[in-house]
Amino acid sequence: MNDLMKMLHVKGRRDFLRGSVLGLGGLALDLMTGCKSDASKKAVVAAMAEEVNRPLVNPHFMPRAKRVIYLFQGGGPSQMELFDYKPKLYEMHGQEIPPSVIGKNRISGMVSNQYSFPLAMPSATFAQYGANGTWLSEHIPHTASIIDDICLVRSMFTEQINHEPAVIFTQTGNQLSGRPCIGSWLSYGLGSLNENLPSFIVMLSKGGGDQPISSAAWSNGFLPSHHQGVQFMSTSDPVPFLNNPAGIDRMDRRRALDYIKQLDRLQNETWHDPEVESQINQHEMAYRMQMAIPSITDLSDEPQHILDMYGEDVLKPGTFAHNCIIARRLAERDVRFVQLYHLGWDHHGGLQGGIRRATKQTDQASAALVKDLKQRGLLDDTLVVWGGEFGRTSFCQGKLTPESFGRDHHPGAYSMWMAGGGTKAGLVYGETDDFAHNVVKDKVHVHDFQATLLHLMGIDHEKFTYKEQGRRYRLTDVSGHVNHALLA
Amino acid sequence: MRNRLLTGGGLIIALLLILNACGSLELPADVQEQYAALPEEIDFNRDVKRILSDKCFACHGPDAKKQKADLRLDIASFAYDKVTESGRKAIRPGSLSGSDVVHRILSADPEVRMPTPESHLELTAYEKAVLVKWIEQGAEYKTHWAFTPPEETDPPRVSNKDWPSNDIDRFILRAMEDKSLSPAPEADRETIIRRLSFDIRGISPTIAEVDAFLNDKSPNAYEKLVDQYLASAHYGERMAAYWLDVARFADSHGYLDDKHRDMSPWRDWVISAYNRNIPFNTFITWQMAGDLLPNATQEQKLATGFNRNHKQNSEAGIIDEEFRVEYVTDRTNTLGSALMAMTLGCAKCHDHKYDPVSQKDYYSLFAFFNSTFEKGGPNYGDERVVPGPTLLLTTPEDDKAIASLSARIREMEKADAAQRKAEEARLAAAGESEVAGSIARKLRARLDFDKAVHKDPQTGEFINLADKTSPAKFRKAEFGEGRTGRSLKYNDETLVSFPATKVGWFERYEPFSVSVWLKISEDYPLATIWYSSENHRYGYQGYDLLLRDNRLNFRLSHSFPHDAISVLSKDKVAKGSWNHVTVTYDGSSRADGMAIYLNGKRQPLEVQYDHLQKNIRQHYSIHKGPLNGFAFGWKVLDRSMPRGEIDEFALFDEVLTAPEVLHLHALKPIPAMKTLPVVDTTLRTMRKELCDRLDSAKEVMVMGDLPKPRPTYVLQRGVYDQHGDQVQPATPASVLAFPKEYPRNRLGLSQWLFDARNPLTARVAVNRLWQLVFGKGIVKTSDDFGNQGALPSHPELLDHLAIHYREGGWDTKAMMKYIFMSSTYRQSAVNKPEILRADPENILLTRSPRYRYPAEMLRDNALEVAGLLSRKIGGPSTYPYQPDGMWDEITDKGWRYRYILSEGEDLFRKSIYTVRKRTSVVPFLQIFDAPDRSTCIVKRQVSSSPMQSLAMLNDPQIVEAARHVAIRMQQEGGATLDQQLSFGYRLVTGRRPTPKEARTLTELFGAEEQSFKTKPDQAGKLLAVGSRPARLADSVRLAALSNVALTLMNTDEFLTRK
Amino acid sequence: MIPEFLGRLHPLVLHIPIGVYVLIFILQYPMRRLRDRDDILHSVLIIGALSAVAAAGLGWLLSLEGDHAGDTLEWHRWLGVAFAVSSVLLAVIHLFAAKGKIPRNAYHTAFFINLTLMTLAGHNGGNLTHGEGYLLPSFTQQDVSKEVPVDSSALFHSIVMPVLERKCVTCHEAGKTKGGLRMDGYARLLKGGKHGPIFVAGDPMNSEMIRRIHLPIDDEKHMPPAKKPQLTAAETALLHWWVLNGASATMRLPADAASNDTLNPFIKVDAAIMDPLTVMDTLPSVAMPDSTVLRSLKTAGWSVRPIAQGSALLDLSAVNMSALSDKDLDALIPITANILWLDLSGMPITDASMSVVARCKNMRRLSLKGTRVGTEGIRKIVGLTSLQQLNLVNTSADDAVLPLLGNLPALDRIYAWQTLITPSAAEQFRQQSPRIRLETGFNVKP
Repeated sequence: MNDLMKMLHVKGRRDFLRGSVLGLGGLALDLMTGCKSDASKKAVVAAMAEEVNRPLVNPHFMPRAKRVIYLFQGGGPSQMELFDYKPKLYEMHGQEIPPSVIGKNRISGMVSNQYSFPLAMPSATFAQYGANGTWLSEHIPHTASIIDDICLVRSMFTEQINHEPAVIFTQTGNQLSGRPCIGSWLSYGLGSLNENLPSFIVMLSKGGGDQPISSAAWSNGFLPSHHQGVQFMSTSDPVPFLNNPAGIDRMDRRRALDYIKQLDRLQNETWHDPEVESQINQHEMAYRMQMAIPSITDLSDEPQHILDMYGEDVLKPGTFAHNCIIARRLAERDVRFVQLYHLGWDHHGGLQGGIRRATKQTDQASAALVKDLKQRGLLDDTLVVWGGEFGRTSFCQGKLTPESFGRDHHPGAYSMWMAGGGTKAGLVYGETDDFAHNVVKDKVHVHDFQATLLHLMGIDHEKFTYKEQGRRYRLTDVSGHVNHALLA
Repeated sequence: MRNRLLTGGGLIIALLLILNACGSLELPADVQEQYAALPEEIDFNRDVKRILSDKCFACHGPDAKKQKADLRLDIASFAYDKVTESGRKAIRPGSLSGSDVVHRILSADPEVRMPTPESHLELTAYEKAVLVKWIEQGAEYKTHWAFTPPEETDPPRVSNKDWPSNDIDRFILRAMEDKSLSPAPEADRETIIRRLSFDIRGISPTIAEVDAFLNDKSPNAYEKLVDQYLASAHYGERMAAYWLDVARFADSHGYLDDKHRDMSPWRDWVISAYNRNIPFNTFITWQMAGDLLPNATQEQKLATGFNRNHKQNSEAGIIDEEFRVEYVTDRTNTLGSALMAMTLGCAKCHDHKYDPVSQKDYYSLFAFFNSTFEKGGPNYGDERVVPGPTLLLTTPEDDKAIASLSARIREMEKADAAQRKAEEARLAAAGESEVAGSIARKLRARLDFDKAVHKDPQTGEFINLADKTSPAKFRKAEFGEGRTGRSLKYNDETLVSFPATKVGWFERYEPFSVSVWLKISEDYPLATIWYSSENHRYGYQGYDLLLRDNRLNFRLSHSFPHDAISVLSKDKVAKGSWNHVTVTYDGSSRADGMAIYLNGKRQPLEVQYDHLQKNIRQHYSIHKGPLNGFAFGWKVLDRSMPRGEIDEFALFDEVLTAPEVLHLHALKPIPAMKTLPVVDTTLRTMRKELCDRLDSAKEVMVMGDLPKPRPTYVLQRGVYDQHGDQVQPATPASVLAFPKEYPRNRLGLSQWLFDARNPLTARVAVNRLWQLVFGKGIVKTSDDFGNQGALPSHPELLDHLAIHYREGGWDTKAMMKYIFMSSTYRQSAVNKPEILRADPENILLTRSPRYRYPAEMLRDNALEVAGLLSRKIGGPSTYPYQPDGMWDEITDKGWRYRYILSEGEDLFRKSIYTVRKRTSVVPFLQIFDAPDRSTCIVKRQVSSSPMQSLAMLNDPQIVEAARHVAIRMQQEGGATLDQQLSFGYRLVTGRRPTPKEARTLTELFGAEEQSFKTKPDQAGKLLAVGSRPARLADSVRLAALSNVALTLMNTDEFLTRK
Repeated sequence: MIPEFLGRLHPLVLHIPIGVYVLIFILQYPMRRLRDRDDILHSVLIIGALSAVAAAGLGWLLSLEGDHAGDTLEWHRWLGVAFAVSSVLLAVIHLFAAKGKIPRNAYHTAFFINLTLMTLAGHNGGNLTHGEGYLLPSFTQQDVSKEVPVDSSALFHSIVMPVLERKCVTCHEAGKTKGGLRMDGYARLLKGGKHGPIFVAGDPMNSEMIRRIHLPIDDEKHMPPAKKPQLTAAETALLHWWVLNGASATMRLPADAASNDTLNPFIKVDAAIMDPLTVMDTLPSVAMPDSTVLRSLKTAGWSVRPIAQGSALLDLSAVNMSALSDKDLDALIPITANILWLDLSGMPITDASMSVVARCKNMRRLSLKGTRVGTEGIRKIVGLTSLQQLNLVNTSADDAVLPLLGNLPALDRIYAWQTLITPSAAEQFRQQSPRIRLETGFNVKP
């Protein structure tokens, strides 16, 4: 009889012996009392009530970060031109990429009609920055200046090769829309710290001629719909219907709300409907939001030397720089999740001009945001994430000509960086092969990044579920491991 | 001695008995306490199944690959027979200590305890008690309630005899009396007419209707009202608004580019189908398989648009097959949620973890939809090219005209054919110069690639020998030794193109021919010889000549492949030598009008597609780059013909006869002649008229299958190209095996759905109707009747309604009336405190449910009370008010769609017609939980957020509506202020104000008037909001009344169904 | 229900025949001279036979229950039956022997056969109950660890064993021998688990232990299990190297250990990685705060949240309050011990309010950003021994603050951007206490 059987057997035997002595007593007790409590007759129809989804309210364990600012670079920034220095590409410029390097990587339909895949050298020079001499491109001088404050990951990889599925995969953990994004999960899980502002705010900025973004990227999916990202628009009303119509000022609105409350309560004397009180609370919150939001979008109280830090676009609504300073002001007021989208990195052609334009719009503002948070003592518990939905190919798309070429999408390897919120400052993590085409060391999957982000917010990604149509859904779907090496 | 012995033995045995009595295993205290509170009889379906499914099936359920310790607890025989590691049986009916399950769930040791800590699942004390008692009572399994066909049970006896007015009430009352509860009193008439008007028509009753109903003393006043409203056209709009969620109807394709589409004709059909009260089985059968019905009518085909409403991806670079599979998956999942209430989608990658639906079952259902004749990446252009398969919505007089034109064309074609044959015979007999002259008269363009004006060795212009004014520009051209003089040699970049619309700009009713010498030296899976067409993202609109595995493929396409004619030469073009390739087309829009000559000989043709309906001439749109003319070589995103060579190109605006082709083949000279203008024969004008008629007809997406069904495979891990074993169309046996007598296609599937033995369809349908009325179905999870779904709160009532609906001929209006006539429906919505405590979620319907109106009803009713709502029914989608810049935010692509506000009546149309762009839903509707329609939604969420109060307070269309309410208060309310305020209150809430409410209104009006008096210009500004600024003499009074109306429209009784 | 119930009596009833036959043995031999011995013997033999039959019968019932299986059960079953039959025969033989019909020693041989049958059946039963090696373990395997001299400087004990203790022994020790493998000592490592030895000296690739620690984390066989703390890269390399070099218990630390990059990380003290999961237990334990106080603070506008589910420590913030006076801080007094993080940024509070803040002994983060608190206020809170981060951005703190903060034991970060602290004072402070990071910002107002 093998050990396991023996062990279980022993346990079984002991259980049995101990059980039997009490059993008789229990039996007798039942017989003596005789009365079966009349539970079934109880009026409350409890048993029928379904198990209701309950938010976490508080994290599972002590969080490192309380807020997140996600600077999403839509279109797929080219890692070869920014973070992943590959001298070999200069040498082999124009030569065919070795088939072994491509391996079973998926190729997008855009280049499936190409017969040749010549390697293209990075359209940038590189230099070493920071304490451990990290090689960074000339296009991102500002980010390079804070390399010791950020944790650069060069070994990201994803499974999607087209924009929309890849963006939705990075945001919701599944390539098809319909599931909540990270911001909605956190707004549902931990609620908002600042009651006068939405807990999840989205801001868009366009780099010019770029791929559209769908609202599915900040959708609440199956979570209650008030966890959807509230989009701050660059038009007059940052939030739909925020401002009172012409002819009605704040005083009139206060009066209207007071009378609505009065009439609601009078009406409810007949109905006794508990929902009425929650409607009244929503009116009050709306009234407070009408004050709180404009105080954020109005930059008149920012000193000039701070505005200069973010670059010349800072006062132009709808630009990345403007959205960055708004993000910092939101973080100062404890908004839980601020999601920026900058579209403009999809350089299928004209990479030289495209990369310069995109970095000119984003580099200074991204670095300024990190520096500004740090000097205000907010970086420790604010996680800043900078990255796109996938990388680009080391071979060129279309004809390789000296003055203009492009790179196609590439899910196999790309870079992103994080700052603050408990991440290890100054770390450069993971390596790719000589062609920045395959990750060779310390792979980090999108689900691993999501699991680590939740971990920094004090949440165990396997325990944080929402039951929908019978299945307990998770942001990290069925995989994802926390990457402790990235943690301070 | 003997008796002493016996007494001793007996004594020992008795001692043992007392000392060692063994009862059941030791139950922990909390489980013991729950155990005592359990009902007498544990029922598998009611109590146990939910627990087993939710906490055990994930690892021990129907998913064959994931049955840990190969134990499955969903089937009795497996659970009883399986001997687990501990040597015990998994479940030994009646024996607690003998069932390993009991040990596992009660054990405290994390290594042994089930469910395991890693699964993050836990059994509550109540659940453990239920399992223990169930095993003790014999662990009896029953088949799932939803998979056994509904059985008729006669309505139960109730003690309160006079409350029920029909059988529905008996079931409801019995459930209440079982819990010693009683129904709420009947609601007053004002509330009843308002509730009925919203439930049936989606808008509030007019004050005249309310008064008429109040004064109608006839006994069947209520029934007359129900009939009156059911007969109104708004009933169709209200039901259709809900069905559009189920059908995921939208005005845009979704995904990245979210190009727009116009499926409004299908929406109009749904509205009219409900208004004509088409039986539900017909309504579904037409939508599922209208095109497969014997000589299907246009309406039946249009109905199949239901299965084409899903999202479509036109992003460049996607893999066509991957997204074609995605569309078929969407249709299968929609069948599951909408008609079977089964979460089929879970079985796409693996066996379903909770319900008896294997992955093979899933792909057997998938097979019904897998033969649609469609592409994964539909048209990237604008709405003028509709992704196939499509239907031309010709009006009756269109049909008449088309029929007569076609008949006359057929006649004339006979004559034309005879005339052509005579011409051919004449030329065959005629001399060389005769033939040459005939060719010259037809010549439009000619390039010999020798005469050119070079800018540099690779770029310049070829002289068009037939028309000097339109030369052919070329770039990156290489030259070789041609058939005569130089030949044009292609590399990857070579492009030769005539100016757009100048050369070869033919429409499908115009005959033409193209002749070229071709030399190729390798095998081309796909290469383009010459083209006057768009690339694959715009459906190859135009005509072109390709090489497919070196066979010549001549095509004319409106949108390849569903609207195109395409023929293939049987044999391949020889490699390494010059071949003379000539194609001719006679303008008949038919494949038999096309001919391919290879080296002078006419080739036998294999017809690939023979269905050309609409224009092939490209149209300009901002979605595309500039129009490209007739061209050779490079084509964006398509395969050119690298290393191929061509020479002696010629284009003709008439069909070349065989002798003329031989003439060209023999390279005999062609005299230069002034080209004569094209003569418009009557046949051509007839054809043109027919084509224009067809081009003007509206086109809509419908279902349409391939001639030969596509083979379907199980997709491993759900990946589009990982083919497992092949499956045939079939349905899950756990629901109802597919009867042999039904055809194995969508028509058979519809018959299966409505087969009397099908346990699901009727229940799912009536449960949804119940949900429309009471806000929550008898089964709360109206899209999941499976193991993880909720249990019916009144199982017998659900079966009763299902049978009633089916045997009543699936008459929807009758079923709705049956519900409206019940006393349950007419209860008051007052929540008495003790009832609120006893039945907090109103599961037993102890009072009429209160819930916020859906988004569409809120806006429609605001316009209705303001007197602004347009009664127009049907038609294309409208663009009501929306904050500006919404659609510019999400992209700044050149072709992006601008949001142009509708004018006039369309600004105030019902919200069912509001444009629904998937990537940016109109904010007012989205804020009140209207879905973005990317997938089938059977039940909307109801949320409450501050954004909603901002919308109701500040949205210009609501502020404008409030102003018009104020105008009506002054014009129709009566003379005095109190009368006007009371009229306003009644208009907005449907009842007169109580004295306290009236006083509050007067107080509010006073404060508003006072505030506007101090700031007179504010009144002017407020009255100017919106697009219908109305002027009345006293603007201060109107502004004050407007604010009163706006305040009233934000109170609970305007927003909530009561 | 009844047969199963009776089956349960087998373990009890079976002891009776044992007792009876031992009694018979004593009566028969040591007490040979007892008067009318045969009568007593006869009745006792009957009782013995009766009890043997009862024991066997009950045993048969118990076996139906399927609690055990395998060959030991079969042996035990048939030996039991044989014993019952032989005990009845014995009683009969004794009857006849007493009447002289058959020779007495026939009875004795029968008696001994019966006795052996009983011991065999008993032994098997014991194995069934208490496991195979129950009776004999202490003889066959002496405790090897006693034999091999524990040489603390031996590489196994100084470096390899601590790694095993940290990452493996929790599941592989006396109390819990997962997979039948014990790793709490070199001898047991040698013995291996249910599949035999777990490493082959000198051949890591064929050693099960090494193969398992190299498997990807998703693989079910990967050790340590995905949920438990993982081996670091250095530890994996060490175990691999150890098996490669003969997996010996006596091998000494090589002289060039420091330069050998597999070994050198272990030469120094291996600081335990600060895993946030464990950070929780390094937090101070305090009594749960009184919920009525928390509720009143919330109504007053404070944002009050436990830092994690079930934690008594609080994260307090005034972000939702429009104004806060010094007096308002008194409301915090009942829960000062529970406050871990306190954010008063932007509130018009002054130095006076610092007396309440000074009571928050367990506080680790304090933000006074944009308040009117100055150096005098800071003087009041130098007693906060567990304070780690202090934010003085936009306050009137000046150079005098720095020496005060220099000796706060736990402090590691001060944010002093846009304060009155002069750059030179800041620089000097940085020299004196390098442990504390003084952040004075990137661009100061010109």
